[in-house]
Parts: sequence; C-alpha cells; structure tokens
Amino acid sequence: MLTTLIRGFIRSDGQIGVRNHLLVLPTVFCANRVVVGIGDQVPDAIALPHPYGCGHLQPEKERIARVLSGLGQNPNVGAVLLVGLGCQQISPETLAEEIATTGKPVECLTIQEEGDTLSAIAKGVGLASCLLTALNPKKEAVPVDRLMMGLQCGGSDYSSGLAANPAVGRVSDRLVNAGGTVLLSEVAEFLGTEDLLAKRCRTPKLAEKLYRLIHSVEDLAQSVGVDIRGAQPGPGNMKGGLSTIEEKSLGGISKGGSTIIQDVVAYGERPASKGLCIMDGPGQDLESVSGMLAAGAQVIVFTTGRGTPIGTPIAPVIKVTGNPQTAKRMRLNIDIDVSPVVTGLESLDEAGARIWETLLAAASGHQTKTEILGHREFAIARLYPSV
Amino acid sequence: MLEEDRQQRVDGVILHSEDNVGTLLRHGQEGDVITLMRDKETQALTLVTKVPLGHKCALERVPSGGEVRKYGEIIGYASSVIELGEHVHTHNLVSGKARGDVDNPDTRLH
Repeated sequence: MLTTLIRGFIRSDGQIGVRNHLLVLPTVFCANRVVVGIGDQVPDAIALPHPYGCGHLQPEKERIARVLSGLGQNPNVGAVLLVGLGCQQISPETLAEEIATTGKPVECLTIQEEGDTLSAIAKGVGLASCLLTALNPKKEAVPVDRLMMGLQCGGSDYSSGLAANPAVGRVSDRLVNAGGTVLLSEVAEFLGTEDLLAKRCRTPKLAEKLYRLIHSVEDLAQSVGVDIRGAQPGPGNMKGGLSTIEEKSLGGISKGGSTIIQDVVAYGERPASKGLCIMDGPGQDLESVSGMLAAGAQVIVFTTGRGTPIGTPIAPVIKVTGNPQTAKRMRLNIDIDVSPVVTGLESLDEAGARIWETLLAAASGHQTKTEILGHREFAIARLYPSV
Repeated sequence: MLEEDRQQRVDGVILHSEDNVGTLLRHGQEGDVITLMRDKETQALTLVTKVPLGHKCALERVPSGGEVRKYGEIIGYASSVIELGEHVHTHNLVSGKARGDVDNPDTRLH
C-alpha cells in the first residue's frame, strides 16, 4: 500500500516540523519591546510579543506557562530565544529547560541582568543570529501520520455547515485513517451534540471528561445569566435554514469527521493518542488556534463563511470557504474555494480531495495566504482577571 | 461563468446516507422537480411546498414524532406529519436538545 508522504524537518525528538522557525518569545509582556527590537534586526526570526506573564492567579499561571512551553516545543519551531525581565511569574530558565527536552537549541536572556533594554536587544540580536545558524535546513520525506491538524471554524455562515465543514470532515477522516492526528475544539459549539460525541469516545472515562468540559462551559455562561443553548440557533441562523441547536452544532463538528474520539485534553495540552482528539477551548478563533499550536498542531485548517483573515506565528493556516462571494472578494486571504459544492457543481468528496492535496502541499512547504500576508496573530484563553 | 453554465448543476445536497432530509442550494417553488446530490449519487424529488435556499426538504414521509436525520444523526423530531418533498423547519421540527442534554418532555412530542 502506498504511504502518503510529506516533506518535513525531522527534530531530535523524532517530531516532524512543517516549518523551521526561530521563535523569539517573551516570558512576560515587559520584554515585548526587546523582543520586537530583536526581530527588527533579525528579520528571519519570529518575534512574538504578547500581553501575558504577570498578574495571573496560580491555575492560570500554569496554563500560560504550559502554552508558552508548548509553543516552544512545537516541532515547527527549530530554535527558541526566551526573553524575560528578571521579576516575573514564569522564568525563562524553567521554560528553556522544558523546551530543551525536545533537543532543539534554546537560549535565554533576562533584561534586568543585561542592564537596559538597548543592551538586551543587542545581546538578543547576537543570540538570535547564532540560533539562526543552528537551524538545520534539511527536509526529508516522512509519512503523513506524523501530522497533527488543528481545526477551526470562524465567521461561519450558511455555507459552513453545508460545504466547508463536511468537506474538511473528509480530510479529517482521511488523516486519521492514515495514522495522523486531528484536534477539534470550540467546546461551546458542541451543545446539542454532547450525547453523540460521548458515544464516539473510545472509553467511558473520556466520555465523562467530555461531558464535564461541555457542562462547565454551559454552567459558566449560566452563572452570568447567559443561556447559550436557548439562544441557538439565532434568528439569522433560522432565516438561513438552521432549525435546531443539534443541526447547527452538527454542522460545526462535521469538520472533525466520523472517527472514534481517542483523547480529550486540556487547553494547550498535547494529546497522548493519535487520531481524532478533543481539546478544551473556546469558540473564539484566535485563542482556540493558539491553544492548538501549544498542543503540537503543525497545520491549521480553518473554515470560514464570511471570511476571517487571521493566521498564526508558527503554523500555516489553510483557509477554506464555501461561500462563492467570499471566495471571490477575499481571494487574497482564501486558500481553497469549495463553493462549487453550494452551487451544485461539486460533491463533498471531490471538495475534500482538493483540501487534502492542499494540506499535503502546505505541510511540505507551500506557503498559505496567512503566511504570505504576514498574519501572526496569537492569544491565550485566560481563566480569570489579572490580580 | 460559461463553464459553470455548461455543467450539470444539482439543486440540493444530502450530507449522509442515513439522512431523511436534503438541503436546498437554490430557492425551490412548490411543484419543482429537484435533484439532490449525495457524493456522486443523485436523486430527484418533487417539492410539495416552497423551500427556500439553505432550508431542508423531506426525502421521505416522516410520521408525527418521527426522527429527522441530517449529518447521519438525529437533528430533532417531527411535530406533525411531514410529507415527502415538504419544507422541514421550525414549524414542524422540534429539538430534542433545547434544554440541556437531559431529555425534556416539553420538547418531545408525546
């Protein structure tokens, strides 16, 4: 039997990267300007300023640390420069130790030790430049089972549940059957399908875990007087043809395909199994996708009806739309147009086959629109207000 | 544009082999004979009511209280008899999940 291959970077720990990034990452927002300053002088680096790293209650601090660590460990990252301030909740050295378990080169820089921010930038430019030379450019053919694909839908409209999501579902099944991993999240959008998802879990324990995730989202909303379930489908949805919450949610989860759910993990946590896995997380596109990067996803497949342009700093995002107007209007931001399904010219299998080919190409180095246009959005789903 | 006109267009899509509703890809009028596609297979039926774009039509007669299936799963229950080719929406379809994952008798037809 022929094995589908992609061309990727083989890391020391055996993981496969589909990109080879040098990540310059602050451990606290105070280091943002230094990180950006380093990136200005080392344009091949991915400088990633963010607003986290201080003022977090302990459970949230653990989450932030887990996500930053996961980001550094993601196999698309070939080397990491961590920049801290000196006083902060997450020490660069601790993070560096974790990230270094993957075998990739990691350096640390602390602003208060260097003196001032200009000295820190100068030191950082030196460190980053050295790390760049340490990046191994060699790519090899590897089986597609080494791929973890994160799924997201954003800016959904009538075409999402009819075309884009079911077509992506074909791709999910195909990747799982080839031995790969698919991450499905956006737990609030499971409401109405919790029983059928629970039935698809590999073990009763996973089913229980999944129910807990779904109930806690619903409870949280209710605690502030919001009835998510009662408000779905919304008036616009109903006008567009959606009749029940199950129908709407099924349209969303169809992108995950039909296989058994092998694991249920926390936000930003790497699954222990291959196959279809559910990650806790919000429907909010950016936080969801960022969590998937921390969990190890090398590629994101993102369906959009109305047209959402966001990308990620370290992974290609393949944008799929089934809306013919969006496909035309936003063709610079859209990678695959599956609107022939809604204009009655293409079957879902055919659309899925085209998405599959694009997935293999992107995984082998072909740049997606988000990468070409420089989209590097990033956000971590928080738990509490700052203290 | 020209190429699209030359190809055969279907009027609706069926998402799964176990579905008993199809979804219209264009506005359908009462009496229209439409073709629905499920992967490579097509089937035809006559609409007995108007069915707007994006809305569902029944692929078989569904008794009152019967299951309505889309994506291979139950999306709700018929609140009255639904005829083959009839518009299926909030006027004749009720959710089984509208008030939590516990079966709520108010939302089921007795």
